[in-house]
Amino acid sequence: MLELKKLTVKKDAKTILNKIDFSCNEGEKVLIYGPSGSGKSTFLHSLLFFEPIYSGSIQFNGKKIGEHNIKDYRKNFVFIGQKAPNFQGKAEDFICLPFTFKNNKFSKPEQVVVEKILHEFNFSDNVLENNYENLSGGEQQRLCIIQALLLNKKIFLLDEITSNLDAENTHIVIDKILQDPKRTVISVSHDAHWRNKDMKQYILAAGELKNE
Amino acid sequence: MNETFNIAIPNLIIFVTLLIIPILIFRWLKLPLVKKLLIAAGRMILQLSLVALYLEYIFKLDYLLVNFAWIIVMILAANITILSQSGLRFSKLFWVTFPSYIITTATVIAAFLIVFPANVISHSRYLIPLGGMLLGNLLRSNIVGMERFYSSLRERRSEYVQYLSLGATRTEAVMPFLRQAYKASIAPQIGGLATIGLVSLPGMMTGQILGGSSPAVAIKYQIMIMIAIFLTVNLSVLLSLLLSSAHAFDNFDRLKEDIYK
Repeated sequence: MLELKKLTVKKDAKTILNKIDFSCNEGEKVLIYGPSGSGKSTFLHSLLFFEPIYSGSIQFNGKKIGEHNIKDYRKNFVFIGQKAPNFQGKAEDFICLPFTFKNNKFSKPEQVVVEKILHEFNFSDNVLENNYENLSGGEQQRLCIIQALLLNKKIFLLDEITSNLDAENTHIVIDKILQDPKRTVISVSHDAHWRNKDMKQYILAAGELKNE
Repeated sequence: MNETFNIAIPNLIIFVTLLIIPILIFRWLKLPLVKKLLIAAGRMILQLSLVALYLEYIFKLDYLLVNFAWIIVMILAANITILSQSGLRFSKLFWVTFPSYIITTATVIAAFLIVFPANVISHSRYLIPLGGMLLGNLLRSNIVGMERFYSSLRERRSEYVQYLSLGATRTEAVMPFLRQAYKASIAPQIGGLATIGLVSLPGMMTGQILGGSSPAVAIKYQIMIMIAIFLTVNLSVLLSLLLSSAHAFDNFDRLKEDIYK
């Protein structure tokens, strides 16, 4: 489904990713780990063309991705970062934020769906009434993950999403994300909790991606 | 009413030498500001003298095209200052900011026709001081708006990317940044509206009263110019942020680095 061919990304003349070949099929669960500063975040950003590609190519379902089809391509993905973004408003507004965007307008989930997933993540219903800014970093991060899950995208790109969570919540989050057999997951993490899961594992070091 | 009293040049020179007082204070406090002050005061006097020369000439000529040309020169100067003070590259953004300021100024000057007959507002002694007040405020608020918008987009890039990856279009992803920058540039103006007349008499009103107008006439001008300034600031900040942000991203919605100095 997703195929990278000799992908090279440079920043200020420094090679961050060096001729990376990588492919992944629908439903596959991929873990990428490696020393910090090895370009793991850059790798995820490059998949979405948020970093300028120096050379090489990315193909999706056999089609080369470029300026002409980038918008449709990005619609398949959701990206979650390490730290929840700033947001002013209630937790409920935050969860609903993506559904205020034109692209997602018609996929707004029903209230029961939202409540069910909140329970699965150990939240009580009244968390929705809280001010997002008053929640702890870990709670905000879990809301981000809920937000992404509700969007129901095919491919999840995860950048160290459990680094600010305690062990219990880390387990809940990982299990929930890996649960759906059709969902493709590419997770970057150096957390041992991910390493113990049944995932295809790669090491990213010195700009090169090696199969475990 | 009488003609305004004319200050004699020698007396003005003596008055300027009063600057010796702050200079002595700087010395005593060991503040390294003396050189800065002298340069700034020198520039102030030189620039005002030049303006006086131009304006004497322009007022005598009072030719509509020249008046508009003068306004355009002021817009150009404001534009250069705005981009350089907000750390942006002139050659990349001038082509979008300049039309924003032109459209804004033209709109507000056209709105003056509600209160002035066309043959009054087109006189240089109306058009140029009023235009200058609009542009002075446009300058200050647009520096805040542009600087805030582009520095926050750069510093909080991950947030912008997060919005895009949640399905936002570029305009939607940029909106939170735009909203904050807009608020930062407009809020002081609203504060200014609320306190005017309480703390100080506004410059224009003072000038008119000194020039012999009655306070009743002066406040009508003041109310009008305050509304005009507020309109100018809002239109110019919105237009320049919207138009420039359409140019600040590449076809992959990545912020272009070469717009920064």
